[in-house]
Amino acid sequence: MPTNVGRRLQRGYWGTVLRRFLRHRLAVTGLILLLLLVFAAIAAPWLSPYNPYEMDVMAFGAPPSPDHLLGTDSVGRDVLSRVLHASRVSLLVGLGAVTLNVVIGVLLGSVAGYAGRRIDSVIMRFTDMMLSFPPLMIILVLVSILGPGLANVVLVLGLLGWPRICRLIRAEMLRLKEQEFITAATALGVPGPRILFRHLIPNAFPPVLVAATFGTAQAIIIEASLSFLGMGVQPPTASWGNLLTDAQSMGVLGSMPWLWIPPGLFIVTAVLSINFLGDGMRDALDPRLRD
Amino acid sequence: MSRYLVRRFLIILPVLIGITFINYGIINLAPGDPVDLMIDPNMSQADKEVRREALGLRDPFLIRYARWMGELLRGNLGYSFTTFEPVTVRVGRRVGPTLILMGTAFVMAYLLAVPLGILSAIRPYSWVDYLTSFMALIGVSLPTFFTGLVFTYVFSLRLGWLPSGGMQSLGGGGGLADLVRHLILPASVLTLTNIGLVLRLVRSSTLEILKQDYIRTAWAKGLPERVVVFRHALRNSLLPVITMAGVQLPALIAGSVITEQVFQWPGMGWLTVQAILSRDYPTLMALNLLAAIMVLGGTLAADLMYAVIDPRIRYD
Repeated sequence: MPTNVGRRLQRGYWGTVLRRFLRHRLAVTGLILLLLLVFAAIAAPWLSPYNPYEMDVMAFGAPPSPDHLLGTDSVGRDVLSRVLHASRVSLLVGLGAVTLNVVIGVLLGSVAGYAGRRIDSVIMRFTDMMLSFPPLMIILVLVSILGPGLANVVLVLGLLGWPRICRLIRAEMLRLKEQEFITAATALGVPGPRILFRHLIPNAFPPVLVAATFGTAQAIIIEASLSFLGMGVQPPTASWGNLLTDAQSMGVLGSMPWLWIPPGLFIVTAVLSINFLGDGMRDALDPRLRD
Repeated sequence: MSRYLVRRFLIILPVLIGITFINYGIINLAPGDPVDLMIDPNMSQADKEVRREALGLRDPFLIRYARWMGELLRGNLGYSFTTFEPVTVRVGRRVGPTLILMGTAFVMAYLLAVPLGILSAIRPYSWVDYLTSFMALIGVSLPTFFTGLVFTYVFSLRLGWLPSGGMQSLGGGGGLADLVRHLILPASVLTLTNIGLVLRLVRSSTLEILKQDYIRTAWAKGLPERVVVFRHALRNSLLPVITMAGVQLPALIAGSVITEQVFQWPGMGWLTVQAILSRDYPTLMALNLLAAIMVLGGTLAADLMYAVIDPRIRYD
């Protein structure tokens, strides 16, 4: 009987969340756009009309035409195929970096919040120090040292982006720790790690999910910026950012807009839809979090 | 108050030292050094060793760091590996342009965001509110470099209204008007990427204040909306916005690195990219140090302002 009530209450919570989310029109639009992008990324090899590395010797820097819907770049590669393949790289970087952020942030933050005292203050001072680094500066330095490239960009973004999640989950821990169901679990003799992983962390997850969503958008922008500066994903592998690198020359910028406008619009669409999604999720999961 | 000040400085000092140490550490872990980058086919291995010795790159890490710190305290940041001029001079030249750019963007962002944020808070869920929230989200979502490219393409290449880069026209001395013409595009780009955060904060803090009891009292007294909003609510709702100004500096610095690169604005951001590409460690260290000082100083200044403005806050 009690489990029944519990299950119904639980369904009630997620039902409410879903209803609140669907009411948020921009968030639903964002979700649909994002799903389309993810689909385009996964299906890139089948959707692309050409091989993204193949050069068409008949068309160097050709403007959009029925043959090449978005034109070709200066060495004759099909822009549409390159943008589609770039989606895989850019979305993967965003997801990979944020996964690392969440793992590190949740581990450190929950331990700090649950253990308290000495451990808490050591972890939090470290977090404060990480936060006082000017982010892009240190990312640029690290990436240029490790050498640019896909894996290193994910690693650097993943290792530097966790402090915010860490603080968030620590605050949640401090709040939840005082609640009765935790006292009950402790009184029942449930071991500490089990309380932490089965009772505390799952309950602290909604705000983390929201932060991770916004974090993904952030990571995509930073990856694009790095690749744009030539310090991120290296050509010939295409990422949304490095497709725009050539547009730094006034000649390309002015005379070949088909080269840089499509990848730019992909970045904006991705980031915007993820941010809308995050906005909707925040309102749906926990209305208290609304700013 | 003074005890609080001292305590804040004591907290900042180890953080600063930690930042220099970690910075110096990771830069030194880097493979490749500036000598390798001077690809002169005529230079023999022995000559390269001599160069390396001359630049002090052979000593152990801690010695190099200690030497660097000692010199730093005497105001000497070393010499650039690429141009051989003192780093203080090289970086110092870049501070002015960056401050002009960031300062303009900062002021523009606040001048636009504060009225808009208040407007959307006193009419929540109206079309003004939806429009500003939408714009704020777009501002946050636009990558600086793409906005920069679009602006250059439209206003400089297509319409020919404004110069596409630099801080002055070639041939020099165009005066203030020339500077302003060069400033408009990069400053607008930087404003656009920073306005979103301020907007949201102004809106949410004003909304919060408008729910307070003393505001209800003001309404109950039959005061006109103008008085309630501007006399009673505004003063309190702008308090958190001041702290935001300090917190926003890192984002502003990050934005200016990209903006300066796109518009070839001769500031610290552009120099950062150049220094990274040429592995110019002393310059890079100085730039990082300066950025860290700006961030810490900004946070501290914001905290202090908060304490001065809000009499409810007692720090000691």
